[in-house]
Amino acid sequence: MEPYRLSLAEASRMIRDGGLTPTRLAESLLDRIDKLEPAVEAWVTVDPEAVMEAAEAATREAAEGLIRSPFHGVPFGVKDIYYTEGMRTTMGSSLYSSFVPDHDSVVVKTLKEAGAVVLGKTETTEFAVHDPAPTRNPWNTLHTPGGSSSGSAAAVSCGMAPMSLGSQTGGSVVRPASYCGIVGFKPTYDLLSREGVFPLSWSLDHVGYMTRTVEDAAITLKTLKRDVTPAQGMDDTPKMGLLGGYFKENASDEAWLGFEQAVGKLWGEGAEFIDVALPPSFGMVPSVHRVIMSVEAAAAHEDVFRVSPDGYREYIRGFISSGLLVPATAYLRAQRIRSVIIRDIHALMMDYDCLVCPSTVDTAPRGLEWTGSPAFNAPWSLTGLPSVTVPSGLSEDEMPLGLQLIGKPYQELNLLQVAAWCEDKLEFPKEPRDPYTP
Amino acid sequence: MSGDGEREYIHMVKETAKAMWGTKAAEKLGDHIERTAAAVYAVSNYPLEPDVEPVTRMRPGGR
Repeated sequence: MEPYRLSLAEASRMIRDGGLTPTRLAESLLDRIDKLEPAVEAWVTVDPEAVMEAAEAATREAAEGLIRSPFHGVPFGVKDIYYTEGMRTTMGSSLYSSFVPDHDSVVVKTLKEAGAVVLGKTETTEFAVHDPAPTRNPWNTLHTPGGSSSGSAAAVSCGMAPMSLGSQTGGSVVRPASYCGIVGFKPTYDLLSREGVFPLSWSLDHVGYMTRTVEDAAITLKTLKRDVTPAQGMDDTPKMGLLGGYFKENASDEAWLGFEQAVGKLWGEGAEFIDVALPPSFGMVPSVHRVIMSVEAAAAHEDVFRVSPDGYREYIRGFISSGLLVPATAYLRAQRIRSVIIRDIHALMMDYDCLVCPSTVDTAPRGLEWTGSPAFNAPWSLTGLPSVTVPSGLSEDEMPLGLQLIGKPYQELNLLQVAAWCEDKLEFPKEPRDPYTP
Repeated sequence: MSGDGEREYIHMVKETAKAMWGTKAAEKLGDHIERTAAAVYAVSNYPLEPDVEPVTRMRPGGR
């Protein structure tokens, strides 16, 4: 089997057992990138020489019996808003097209110390908002992969990387992962350091990432956060709170049907689903999220925006401008309503292993101009709760659909335990996708 | 929540935008300004008890 096809866990086991060298794995992934990049455009920067140098160093260490972690010698992608020492970091913006940080973001540094190899920087929408990257969806290159972590999702989906870092302020990890038929995970707010990640909205930004399996998501989390709360073990089958209301009203017919089919399959396997009524405060999520994000984005960009407004593309320019007009009292009021929403959602989920809803409003939109709606993910960025998408099936036109599971705060490994159970029962193919162009 | 009050508020914000950036630029930003202004109006009209404090340093679950 070509090494690019391996999951992170498989590659890790083979490196540990001597059946695969980091050098061979890196070569295979670089070949895959060479072959597919013209069709997918997932990468801003790949430095093959640096990749091979790091992989060879990991190979030498492995030969001497030094295996630093399950990530030893495993390459990973990095969304281009994470600072990488000596490697260009553009934020998807012409304003930063030649910016080269002199240090790594904490998350990248942690992975490097664990023996992982930086494969390159992946495409992002401009400053992780909505102005699109050139990346295409491997499932159908006429469709968006979603955003803002566009390149990371596409790269993992088609086997260019077993894991890639993303970030989520609205729906920028879970949505593109769902659109590309892979696992996307964001832990509880602030569990993973945001230091060295270019900010969009300080109180909403989450570090997250994509993998092709839930097992790989758990390995990544344990590498990034060694003292993460252990899983408590669940009963044989999970008990999930099923979210209708807002989600049913806003889902396309096809997305809701796909969700019902996935739920039906899991129910047939013994999962318990209980209809959960959303609290009245939940209706305020879109407004509260918009007020907070627009103000914090305006504040983060204010100095540069004042000097170089023309350096910003259309969507983010309008978004920042609108945030500059929000009264301070409205921002504070939004943060006060957020307190109420968080309290109400916490109370709601205590009786379940997790909550469940569709990952996205619909499948990946056709065209590259719009990266899709974050409406089903923004509530979990606003409340800071851990969330994960597991691929659950295909639409009529063979585009992926996902099941979104939402966990209790700081109970990431419990959530991933349920996600692994669902992944096993839903039987969605985990192999890398060869890009398809109709 | 919507109605004359919301329309008047959005109109006021749009006029402010024109004063700040000029009519042409403000019109180009119109959709964003309208959506954020509508969100502000909704937030401003949501009833809250005085003791509800804003999220400042967010620690879900109180940790």
